[in-house]
Amino acid sequence: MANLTKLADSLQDNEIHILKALKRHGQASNAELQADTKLDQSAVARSALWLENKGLVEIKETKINVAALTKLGKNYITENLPERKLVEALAAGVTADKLITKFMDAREFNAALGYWRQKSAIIISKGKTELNEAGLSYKDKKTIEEKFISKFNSAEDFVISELPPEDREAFERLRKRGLATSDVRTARIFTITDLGARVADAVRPGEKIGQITPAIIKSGEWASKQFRRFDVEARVPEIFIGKKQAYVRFLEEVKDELVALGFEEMTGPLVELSFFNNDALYMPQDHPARGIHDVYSVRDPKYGSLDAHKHFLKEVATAHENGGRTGSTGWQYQFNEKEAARLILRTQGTALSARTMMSKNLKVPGAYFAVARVFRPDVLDATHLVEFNQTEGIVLDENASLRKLLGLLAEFAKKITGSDKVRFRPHYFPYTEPSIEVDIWSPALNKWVEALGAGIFRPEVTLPLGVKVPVLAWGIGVDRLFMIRESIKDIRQLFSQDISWLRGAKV
Amino acid sequence: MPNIDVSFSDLKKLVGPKLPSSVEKLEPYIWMLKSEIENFEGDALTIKVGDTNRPDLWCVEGLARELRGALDVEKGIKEYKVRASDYRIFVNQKLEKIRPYIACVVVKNIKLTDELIKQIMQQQDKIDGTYGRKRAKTSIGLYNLDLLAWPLKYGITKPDENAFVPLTFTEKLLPKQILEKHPKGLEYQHLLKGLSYYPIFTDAKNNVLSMPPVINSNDLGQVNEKTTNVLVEVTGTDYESVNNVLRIMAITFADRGGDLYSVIIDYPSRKPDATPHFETRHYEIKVDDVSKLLGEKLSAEDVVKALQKARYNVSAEKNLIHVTIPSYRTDIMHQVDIYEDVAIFHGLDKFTPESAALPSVGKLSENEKLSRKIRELCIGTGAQEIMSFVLTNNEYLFGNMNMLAEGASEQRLAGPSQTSFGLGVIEIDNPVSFTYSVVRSWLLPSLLEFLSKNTAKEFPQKIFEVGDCVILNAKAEVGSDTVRKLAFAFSDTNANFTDAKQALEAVAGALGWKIIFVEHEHPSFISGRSAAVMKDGKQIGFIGEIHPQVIKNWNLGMPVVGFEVSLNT
Repeated sequence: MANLTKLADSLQDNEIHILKALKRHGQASNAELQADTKLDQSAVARSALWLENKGLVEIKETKINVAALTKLGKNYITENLPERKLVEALAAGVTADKLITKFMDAREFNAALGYWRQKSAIIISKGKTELNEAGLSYKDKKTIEEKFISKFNSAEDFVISELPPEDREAFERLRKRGLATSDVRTARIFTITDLGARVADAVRPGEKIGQITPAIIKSGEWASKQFRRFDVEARVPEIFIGKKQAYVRFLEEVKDELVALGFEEMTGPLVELSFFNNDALYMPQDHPARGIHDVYSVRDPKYGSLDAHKHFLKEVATAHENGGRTGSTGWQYQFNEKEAARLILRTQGTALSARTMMSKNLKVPGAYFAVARVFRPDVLDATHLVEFNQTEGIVLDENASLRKLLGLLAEFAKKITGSDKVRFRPHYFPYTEPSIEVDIWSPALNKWVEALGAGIFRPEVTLPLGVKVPVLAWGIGVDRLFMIRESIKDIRQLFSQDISWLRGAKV
Repeated sequence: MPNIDVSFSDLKKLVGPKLPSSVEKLEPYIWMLKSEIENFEGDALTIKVGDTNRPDLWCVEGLARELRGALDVEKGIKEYKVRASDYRIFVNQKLEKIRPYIACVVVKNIKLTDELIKQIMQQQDKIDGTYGRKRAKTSIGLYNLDLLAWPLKYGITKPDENAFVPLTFTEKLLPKQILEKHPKGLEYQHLLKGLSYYPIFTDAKNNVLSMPPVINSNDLGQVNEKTTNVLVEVTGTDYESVNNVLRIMAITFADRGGDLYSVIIDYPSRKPDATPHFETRHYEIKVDDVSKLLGEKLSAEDVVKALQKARYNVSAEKNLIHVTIPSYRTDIMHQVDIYEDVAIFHGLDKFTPESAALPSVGKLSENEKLSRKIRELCIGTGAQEIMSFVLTNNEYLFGNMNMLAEGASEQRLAGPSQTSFGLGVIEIDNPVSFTYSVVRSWLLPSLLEFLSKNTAKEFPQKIFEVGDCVILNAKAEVGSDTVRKLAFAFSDTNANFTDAKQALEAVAGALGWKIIFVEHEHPSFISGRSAAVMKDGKQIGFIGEIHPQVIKNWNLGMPVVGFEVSLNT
C-alpha cells in the first residue's frame, strides 16, 4: 500500500489525468486521450511515456491510416477552394466567362461548377450562370470540405476510421477530387496495467506542489499541500563543469612538491640566446645537439645581444678554448662569439639554470627549479612532440656531494613518482660529472622506467659563471611519469584537443 | 648516442670467460660503461653507448677493453707496440685551407674475418657520423697495403682531373662527376662545395686511393677476407681529433692481433709526424678531494683499485694519487672526470643516498602565483582549461583570423599596441613542418583551433588557456618578449558579447583589476562588437564576438565570443 501511495504521490498532474482517463477507458489512442483530458498530443505522448517507465501504462504500436492532403490539396489550406471562388464571384456579379480567365483555370471552374450543380445551388440558363437561393446561402456558410481542410493547420493526425461522419464524407469527396489521400502512420495505443489501475485509485485528491517557488514559501501553501514525489533515482541530463587541464594539474602538483622540498621557481624566455642554452653549459659549438636538426633557429632577428653579459661571455669562451681558470683542458677550439649570440627556441630547461647562476640575486646555498616549455625539431607522432615540458633544477651548496645527490633523487622518486624502489646508473651528460640516471620501478608496467637524470655541474660550467660551490643538477621526465600514471599511450594527449577527454579526466 | 651491434660470442672471445651471459648479470657491467643493453637475442647484442665523448667505446673491441677492467680480467693501461717504418706520406701545402691533417697506420698480419670486417665498417660509420661530424671533422679510409706503391701523396686535384673508379662503380669518373653521380658523392658534396680543387690521396704511381672525405677508389680503397695487410688513413680539419680517431682504429686492429707500423706524415710546414701516437697524460688527484665530491670517505687504496679497473695506470703517495691517462681517453678534461670513474668503478651501489633537508625555502614564481589565481577564477566561470602548443603557423595566427584580409594587415601594423595584434611574430628558420613554423604571438587562435576539433561534441563549450606568447622586440637581448596571456572563448547557439564581458569582468574584478572597455575595431571580431580592454591607461587586450568569416575559416558552426589579455603588463 505504501508503495502505491508513493507512486501515486510522484505523479504529475498530467500523468494523473491520463491515468484516470485510462482507468475509465481501459485502453485508448492519443486522440481519445486528448479528447478526454484536453491535453495536446505531445503532452499526452510525453506523460504516457513517463507512465510507461513507471510500469503503470503499456504502449503498443499499431499501423493506422490517417487523412492527408495531396500536394494540390495543400494549396487550399491558404487559398479558397474553386467552389468558394465561384460563389464569391457570382455573388459579386462577375460573369462566368470572365471568371475563367481572371480567377481560376478551366479545370477548377469545371470542378466548381460540378460541385454546385450537384448541390443544386446554381441555375444555368441562356449561357448565364447564377446562384439560386440555396447557392446564396453558401455565401456565408462553410462547406464541410472547407471545414475539414482548415483542420490541417495543426500538426495533428486524423485517423480515418475515427473521423466524425461529416469529416469522413468531406475526406472521401476530396479524395475523389485528388485533393486528399490516406497515409500510413504508426499509432500508439495506451493500455492501463493492473498496477496502473491500483495507483489510479490511490491518487489522493488535491493539487500537489511541483516546483517549489518563492511564492509557495511565502504563502505558507506548502503546509497544507502535498509535495509531489520526485523519482530521485532517474537519470538527469549531464552538465560540464570547468576543470583544470589534467596535465597542467599534474605539473602543479610537481611544482608544489618541489616548493615543499625547498626549491624556488625560475622563469625565463622561450626564445633564448644560444649562449645560455648551450655555451654556458659547456656544450662545444660544433656539438651535434646544437645542429640544425636538433635546434630551432629564429629567422629574424638571427642574433640577439650579449652586451649585458660580456664578462661571462669571455669566461665561458676561454673555458671552451683552453679551460681558462677552471683547471680543465677545455675543448681546444676557437670559440665563436657570434654563434653564442644566435637566437634559438630553448631546447632544455637547463638554460634557466645557467641564467640563474649568472644572476646577481643568486642565493648560495640555494635551490631552484623550473617547469620549462622546450622545443625540438621533430615530426609529431605518438612518441615525439615538437615541444614539451621539462622539469629541471639545481642545488648550490658548499657541502653538495654525490651521496647527497643520490639522497635528493631518492626523495624525488618517492614524492613525485610515488616509488620507493629506485636504482642508479652511471650516465653521460655533457655538463655534469659525475652523471647519474635514475630508474624507478613501475608496478603498473611491471618494469624499470627511466625517470630522472642528474649530476654535478662540471667546473667548466660553474666557475666561469662565478659559482664556486658544487652544484647538483637534475631533471625529471614528468611527461613520462604522467603518461604512466594516466595510462596514456600517445604523448600528443598531453596537449589534448579533445574536449570530451578533458571533461572526463579524473582529478 | 650510438647503438653498437655486436656478436655476443665475439665479445666473449675478446673479454674472456668471466663475461656473464644473462641480461641481469651482464647489465651492471654494461652500465659501468655508461651504456645500456638495448637488445639481446640469441647471439645478437645491441649496446647503446651513452657517452658521446668516448669514440673508443663505439666498437666491440673498445667495449671489451673496458669490460676486461670492470671484470678484473686485466687492469691498468694496455700497452700497444708500434714498429717504426719508412712508410711516408707527403702532404700538399694547399690542403691547409681545406682539410690539412692526415694520420695513418700500417697493420700487418691481420686476419680479416667477415665478423671483423662488419665490426670495422660499423666503427668507421659511427665515428665518421658522430665524432667526425658526418665526415666534416674527421673521416676514415682503409686500403689494401699490398697494392700500394710508396711513398703516398695527400694532395689536391682539380674537379676535372684524376678520374678514377669510385667504390661500387665499374667505370672511371672525374671528381666533379663523382659529386654529381655517386651516392656518397651526393651525400658529401656539400663538404667540397665552392672549392676550386679537392683533396686526393694517391700513390707513387699516381693511382688514386681515395678522394677524402667522399669516396675510396674501387681498385685500391677496399679490403676483404683475403687482405692481410692494411693501411688505415684518417683525414680531417682538427689535428687532435684526426690523431685520436687513428689511434682508436689502430688499437682495434692491434686487439685483433694485427702488428702496427708507424707512417711518417711529411707536412710542408710542420715537423714530420710519425703516426699513430699513444702519448699518455698525467693528472694528480687528492683522495680528500675525491671523497669530498663523492660524499664518502675513501681510502687511497679504494681510489687506486677503482682507477686501475677503469684502466688507468695509478700510483699512490699517501693522499696524492698519480694517474696516467691512456691516449684514447681524450674525454678526460678535468679531475672531475677521474673522480667520476672512481665512483663508477668503486661501485655506484656502495654510495648510500644521504638525505638532508635543502638549505633553502621554496617558493613559486610571481608569474605562476598570478596564473594560478587566474586559472582558478576562469574555472569558476565554468570554463574548461586547455593547454596547447606554443608553435603554430601564420595561417592559423593571421590568415584564419581575418588579419591578412585586405586592409586588415595594414590595420595590424598600425594597431594601437603590440599586445592587441600579433604584430611582429617570431618565425622559425628551419621548421620541420609548416604546421609548427611560427611562435604564437597571441592565444585566441589556439582556442579557435581547439574548438574546431570539437564541433561534434556537446555544447556549450567554454574554454580558456593561460599560456606564453612571444612578441618581437628588437630592443630585448633575445629579440623578443615572452608574455604570459589569458584567453577565453565561449561557443554556443546564443553566445554573445555580454557572456564574454561578464566573464572578464568577474575575473578582473576578483583580481582587483580596474579595467575599462573602449570601442575598438579588430578584423577578427564583428565590427561594432569588439572592444579594447584597458588597464591603468594601457591596452592589455581585447574582447568581442568572433567574426562569422573567422568562424567559417575554422569550420565552426556556432557563434563564438572571447577575450584575450596580457598578464604581465
